[in-house]
Amino acid sequence: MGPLVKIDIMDVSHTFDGGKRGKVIALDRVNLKVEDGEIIALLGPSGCGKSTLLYMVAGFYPVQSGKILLDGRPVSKPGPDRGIVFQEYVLFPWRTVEENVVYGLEVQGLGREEREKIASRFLEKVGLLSFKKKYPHELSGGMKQRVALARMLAYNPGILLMDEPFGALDAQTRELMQDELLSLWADLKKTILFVTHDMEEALYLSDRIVVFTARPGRVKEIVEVNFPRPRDRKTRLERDFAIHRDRLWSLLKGEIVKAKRMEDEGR
Amino acid sequence: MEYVKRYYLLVILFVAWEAVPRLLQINPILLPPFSMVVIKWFHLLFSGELLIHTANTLFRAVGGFLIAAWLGILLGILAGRSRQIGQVLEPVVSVTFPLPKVAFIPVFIFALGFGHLSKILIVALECGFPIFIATYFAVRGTSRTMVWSAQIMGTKERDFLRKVIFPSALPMIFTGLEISIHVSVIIVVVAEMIGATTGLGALLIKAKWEYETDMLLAVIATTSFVGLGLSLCLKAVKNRLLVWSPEVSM
Amino acid sequence: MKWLRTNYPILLLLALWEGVSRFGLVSSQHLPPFSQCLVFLYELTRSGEVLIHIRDSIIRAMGGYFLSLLVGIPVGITMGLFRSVERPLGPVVTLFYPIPKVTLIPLFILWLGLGDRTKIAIVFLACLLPILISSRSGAKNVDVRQIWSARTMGTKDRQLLRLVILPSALPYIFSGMRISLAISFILLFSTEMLGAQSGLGYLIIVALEAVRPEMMFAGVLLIGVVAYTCDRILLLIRNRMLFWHTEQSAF
Repeated sequence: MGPLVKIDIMDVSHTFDGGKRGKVIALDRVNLKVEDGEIIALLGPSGCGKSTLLYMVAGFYPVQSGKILLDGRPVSKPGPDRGIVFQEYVLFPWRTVEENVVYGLEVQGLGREEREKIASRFLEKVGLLSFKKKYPHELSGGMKQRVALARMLAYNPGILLMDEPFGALDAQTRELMQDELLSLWADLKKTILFVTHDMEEALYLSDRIVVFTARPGRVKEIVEVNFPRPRDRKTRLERDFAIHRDRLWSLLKGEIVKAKRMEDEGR
Repeated sequence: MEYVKRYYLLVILFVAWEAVPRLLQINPILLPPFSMVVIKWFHLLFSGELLIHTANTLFRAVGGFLIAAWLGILLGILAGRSRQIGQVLEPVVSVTFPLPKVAFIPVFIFALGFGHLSKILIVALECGFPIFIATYFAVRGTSRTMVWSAQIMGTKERDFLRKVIFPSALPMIFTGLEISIHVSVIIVVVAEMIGATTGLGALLIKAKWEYETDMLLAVIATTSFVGLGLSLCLKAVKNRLLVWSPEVSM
Repeated sequence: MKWLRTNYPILLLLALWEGVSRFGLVSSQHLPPFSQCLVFLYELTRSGEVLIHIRDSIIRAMGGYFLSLLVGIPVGITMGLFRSVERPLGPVVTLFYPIPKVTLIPLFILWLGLGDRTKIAIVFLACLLPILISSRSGAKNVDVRQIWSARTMGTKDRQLLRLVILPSALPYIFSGMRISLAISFILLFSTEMLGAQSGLGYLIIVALEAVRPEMMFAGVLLIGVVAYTCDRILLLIRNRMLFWHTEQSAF
């Protein structure tokens, strides 16, 4: 039996009503099949709709045309079969680290002891067990993002959605977090769909990279990334890594310039 | 040494307040020396007069404030969550906001008399605005990504207000509450000065008619303390409820 | 009209007022119908009487207000820039801040009588502190990197105030100005209600004593118009001077 199609995106388009500026086509007939346990990167210039696609899978935006099936069923509302992590962490500032991580479990009605047990397990996985009574404002950016990860993983969603998860972190923390994500994935084997601007990040983490065009966002090319797993620093040293990166750059460069021009003209 | 540099002007002012009226033999109706005011204050305290009037003023100010807090927060949440209600309330508030509510004091006294009710209601009217506005903006401005995170984790609709929107809005609501409590004392005193027989405002008017400047100054000081006291109480509540916020714990 | 579409609730409220009063839900002794108040207002205006009161009120309020700007802004900025000034004056400001300036009204009437001087003095004092404090904030919060950049580009010390510090502090100053404007009206009308021989506050008290509610409401409406207009004017000036500032204000 072959791998399951976890996320099936069929002919999906999305238009925003821009008010005075008229309608904006964010996505144009995007097709993508994601298998269970795959890590997929959505890469493209600003405004190409990659976040829009992510939010549609999450259920925040409605599917206007085309279909999105998760485990064979169409997406409706946001729900705990999926998890999300944003660039700005978005923790609940009035809850401690521990209280944040138990949130999904609390909402599902689990008892206090069990919630705290599970939360402790995931806090340990991200290395923040000793911080569990702290409030978010007492943590650094990298720590906050790790709490966000633990919070997402605690209630065991099948699909992990990440919108530029490491974009707000400095370059050094970013590399650490990328390794941490890979080790969590090796442990839990979830399906991951993430949006990024960073070509190296896309190459390092994913199995396939979906390269988008400038607005209206179409799939320009889907690049297979065949570096063996588990990946580490040595992966970045491989000659193929540089070649792939160059390939991505040649795919993206024209689109980025186009997107910048549209942005300037829009003003 | 640092203390001297900071407080020397203050000390000089107080010393002058004591010395100058005495030295220049200024009529105590014009400017009583500092010690005279202090003595008068204790006099008022021990005669019980100060406590009675302070109690009246406090009752009205706090009563009006609590009504305003209740209504302001309730309406603010309703208006913040529902576009329709917001669109109805926003123009009304925006037009009546610059209107000094003191203008209504005679109206309220006319309709409700010289007792507690007119004062409590005018305080509620004046305090309601900052609280409503703060709550309205806070609720309306709830972070979209936070709402989404809560949704994806399975938060039920009926829990949303309690678990996400209200805690997220609380810091801004407190800002409105702090403004309001400061204002409550001001407006209650004006109302008492215009039409009341009890309360610190009434006491001020009495002192004026009897040319007792020392009493006047003593009551002014008392009113300041009342205002400070109320603000401090609110701050204590805020420190407990907002223990998680950076501005409170730092 | 677009104005109608956003502001129709106000008209609804006025209609409610009219209805509640005319149909006796609230006794029209206590709440005269809106139309009656308008009629009275019209007659007052026609006789020219009301204009004198409006004029007097505005002169007093604006007199005290502008005086407070004249003193408060420079002193506040100086305090924000120079620790040697902030150190002695700061505690004085902190001492006077919690004193509700309305409590000074009887005192000032005692000292200065019932004339315009008293009103202007009270408004001045009440408006002084907020504008001073916000000017001080504005001066203190100038991004030091802006000053560094300016100095690197050759700005001399005496130019720094005009070219960097003042523009940077302006948003704070304007927010203080807006608060002080509201305060000026509160204090002015309170004082007029307690001891005056003209002015809108005085008008309302006369109406109270003469048991003429329609005159009271007419006075309230006038006060509302005056306060609203002045606030709008200030907002217009602010939006023109702070066109570069990204913060908006709905109220």
